Amino acid sequence: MHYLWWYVPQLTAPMLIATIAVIHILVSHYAVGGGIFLASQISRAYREEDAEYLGYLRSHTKFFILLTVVFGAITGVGIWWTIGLASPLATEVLIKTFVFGWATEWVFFIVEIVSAFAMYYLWGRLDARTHTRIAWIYAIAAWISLVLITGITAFMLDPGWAVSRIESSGFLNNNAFWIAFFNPQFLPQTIARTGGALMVACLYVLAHATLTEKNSALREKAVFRSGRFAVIGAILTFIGCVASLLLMPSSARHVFEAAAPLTVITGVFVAMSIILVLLVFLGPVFRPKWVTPPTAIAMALIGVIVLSSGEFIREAVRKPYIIYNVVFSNQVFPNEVVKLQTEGYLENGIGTKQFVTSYAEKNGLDLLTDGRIDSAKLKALPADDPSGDTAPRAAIGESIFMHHCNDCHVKNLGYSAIGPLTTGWSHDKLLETIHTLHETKFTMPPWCGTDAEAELLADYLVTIRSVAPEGMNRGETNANVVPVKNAEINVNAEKEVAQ
Amino acid sequence: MNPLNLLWTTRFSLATSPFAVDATSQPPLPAPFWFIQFFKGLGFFLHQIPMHLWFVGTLLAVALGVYGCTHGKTFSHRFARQLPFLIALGINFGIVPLLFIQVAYPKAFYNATILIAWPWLFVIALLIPAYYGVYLYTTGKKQTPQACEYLLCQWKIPLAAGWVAAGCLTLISLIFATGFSVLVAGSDQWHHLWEATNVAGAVTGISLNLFSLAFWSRWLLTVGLALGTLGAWVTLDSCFFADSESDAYHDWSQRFALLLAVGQACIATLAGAIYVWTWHVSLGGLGWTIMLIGLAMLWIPLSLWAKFAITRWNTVRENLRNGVRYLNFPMQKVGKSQAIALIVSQLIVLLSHTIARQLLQNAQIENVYTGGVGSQPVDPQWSAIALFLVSFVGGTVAIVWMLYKILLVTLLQPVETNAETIVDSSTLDDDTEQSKTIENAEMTTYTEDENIGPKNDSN
Repeated sequence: MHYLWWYVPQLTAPMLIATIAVIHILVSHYAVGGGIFLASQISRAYREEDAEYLGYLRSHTKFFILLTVVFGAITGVGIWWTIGLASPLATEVLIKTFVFGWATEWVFFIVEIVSAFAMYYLWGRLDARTHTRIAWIYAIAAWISLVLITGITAFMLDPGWAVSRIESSGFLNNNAFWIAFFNPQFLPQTIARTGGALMVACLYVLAHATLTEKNSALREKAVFRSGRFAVIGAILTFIGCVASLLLMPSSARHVFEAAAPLTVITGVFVAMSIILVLLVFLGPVFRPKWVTPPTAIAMALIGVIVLSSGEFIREAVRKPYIIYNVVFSNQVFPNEVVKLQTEGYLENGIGTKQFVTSYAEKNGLDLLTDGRIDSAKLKALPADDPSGDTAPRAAIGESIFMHHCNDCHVKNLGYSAIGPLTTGWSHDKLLETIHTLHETKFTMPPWCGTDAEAELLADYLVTIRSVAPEGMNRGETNANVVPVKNAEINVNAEKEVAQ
Repeated sequence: MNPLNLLWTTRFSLATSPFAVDATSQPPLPAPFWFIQFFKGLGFFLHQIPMHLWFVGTLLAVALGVYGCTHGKTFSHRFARQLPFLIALGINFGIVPLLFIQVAYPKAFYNATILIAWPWLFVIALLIPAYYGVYLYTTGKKQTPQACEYLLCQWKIPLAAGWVAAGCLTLISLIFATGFSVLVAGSDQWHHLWEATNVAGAVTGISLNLFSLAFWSRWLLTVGLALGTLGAWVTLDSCFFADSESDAYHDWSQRFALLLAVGQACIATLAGAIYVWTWHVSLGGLGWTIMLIGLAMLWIPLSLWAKFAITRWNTVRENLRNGVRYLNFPMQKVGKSQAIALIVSQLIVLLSHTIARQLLQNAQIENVYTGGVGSQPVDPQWSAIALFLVSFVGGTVAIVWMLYKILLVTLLQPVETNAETIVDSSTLDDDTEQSKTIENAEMTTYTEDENIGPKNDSN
């Protein structure tokens, strides 16, 4: 559409964002919660003149820096990299609206970097007061960066009143910064993420302390103290998640019910969260001795499941949008849909327009009128040759699939593959579904093309739909189902297209 | 004419392109274009300093650590200890230009990077081994600069990590050079790349621009500038932070810095001239003047070296004629004020490079933004800009305060005195007891002192 589309076979480009984002949040939450934990514990250790505990905190700080400053920073930049490649339009909207929010966050990143290094590398060389101050500077800067990024990510789930500031271009009015930032999800998600950060910090401390600290009294002290952070974190997370759920757009809540996989993942999220909280109470808080390396690792793994499923839910409930009510998942503004249905999807996309122009030129086809793709000429394209030597309808249909559908669906094998999803569908069924995408499936965007383009897409989908599995009695006849062979299906498909 | 308009007033004729958009019809920018350019430039200026250092510095530090003379090994040791911080800072400074380039010309940036999506994403994959490699290389070395031996020498893991890090950083520099050469290559070349790599119009993202002279000259220009920046850094480190090192080391580091300045002047001038030749835009008289000034600037640090340090040019010639090693000609010691002048001259080189680069980028991207990138409409988010500026000032104050504390500690307590305390007890098995003893001794001092600060001989 507005940008070239990056084709990532078997996975889809947006899934790359999800993969990197999940990895990143496992570290970025620790960067915040761990910072608060370290600052409070360093203050306390100095106050109590606890040299041994300070020794442990120093060792933990090294681990903390190696993970957060290195891996956390790189994966954070990785998200930037990926969103620009996989969701350029949504990224452009976010950047134009929130550039100064991000720029402010960057300032706090720099403060974090300098304070983290000063905290660790000058350990034992700074006086206690300065050292403690620097630790708190880190903690506060890290938390503010969490607040800033949450304002932006929460906006993606529910822009709230900011949608009233959408201009005819599809972008938000530039005065919408504050109203967009303080969206209905901002506060609940900030509370939930702060709680999550404290819990994650506890899990990292448990793993680090049990695996590296040989002094049992010291180990138990670190475990116990981190456990108390986790309890506070659990309470905050619970409050934040409940508030977030209550304030969520009704459509997002509906996705929970409408999408079966999401119901399962939500169940996993809730169950694992309860188990994790119980384990924290039983272990670190009541019996720190019980926390051994295997239990700590098991708890960390449960934490990974909780965080990952939570992020997955947050991403999934936005469907069919990337930015709710602002940008559809297939990189189209809602107010563009009618225009695309009238003027054509192919004509209005950079990649599609170039492809059709180039394809027509190479194959000697006349598809353009006055330099614009002519819908009538597309409609008049002859049926594809069954031998497959010339298949302009399917070829152009594939281009529509790549740009309109590939954001969420791969072809035959991989993430949400369209072939298996349309197993055994007839050409008519495909065509009808294309015309009523958003009605057929609540989480799908509307069809954004002309009737002629819908036919071309159906012609292409016929070529990649899967064959119904053999041996399944679907109650169509009383007799055993006679399996249809691939070759027959393909011949039938070609006949359908020809008709 | 408003001098701020200088960077976007050049105009060129353009061919129609599927990628071209009318700049005036774009959604409004959230800040005046000069403001976006200023912070993009400032961010790049700050980013390129640590980036130059890690780019050529890592490779040279590892190589000198293995093959260098005693002083080369000392430099390697000193520089390796600084690398983790430099990389962290460089990555973070890089966020600013990345942020503002997306605001200034998203239609150019996203399409160009999507064309090279996989190599572009590979940067992230390379950064992880590079950064951890640097850490492993740094912490795996014994804290004795002269010896510069490696722990785990049986497998030479830290050394291998150093080479891997240097290799990854070099690859990253190549990918960046290709990325930005694609960005400014213009819509014609984009069309060729798209044609070669599309599947039904969607790109596979495997394009590279490796066979372009613009790419190689751009990369070599960065190599040249990086050598100069490293030279300035060596001078800074030697003159201000290496009091504990021998006079011989200071002499060596000065010669090394001079050599790096020579490298900058020769490589960057040559590469820059070739790069200019590859441009497909007309910059106008003023633009060319700025470019030529930029190239001339490359020679300022070398000229200052000649003025401050080289005592007898004829001896240099004699040395070269006699085949004596390049570092053997007589030099006089550079003082601190002269060192500051050398460092400032390098900063001027980088600043002029930043300005020239921005000027050229705007001109080249006009291929996509017809009417000129500067003619995009503007609707400033003043309150959000104020938030950023206030936090920028506040953050700067906090950072300056921390740097002041760091400098105070570093200058009052020479690193070598405390080097043992930095030794990581978890990685240095042999030193575990020693390290613990030192920590305990320090803590004893804390408890006896009301300020709970470590006592130190230098205090």
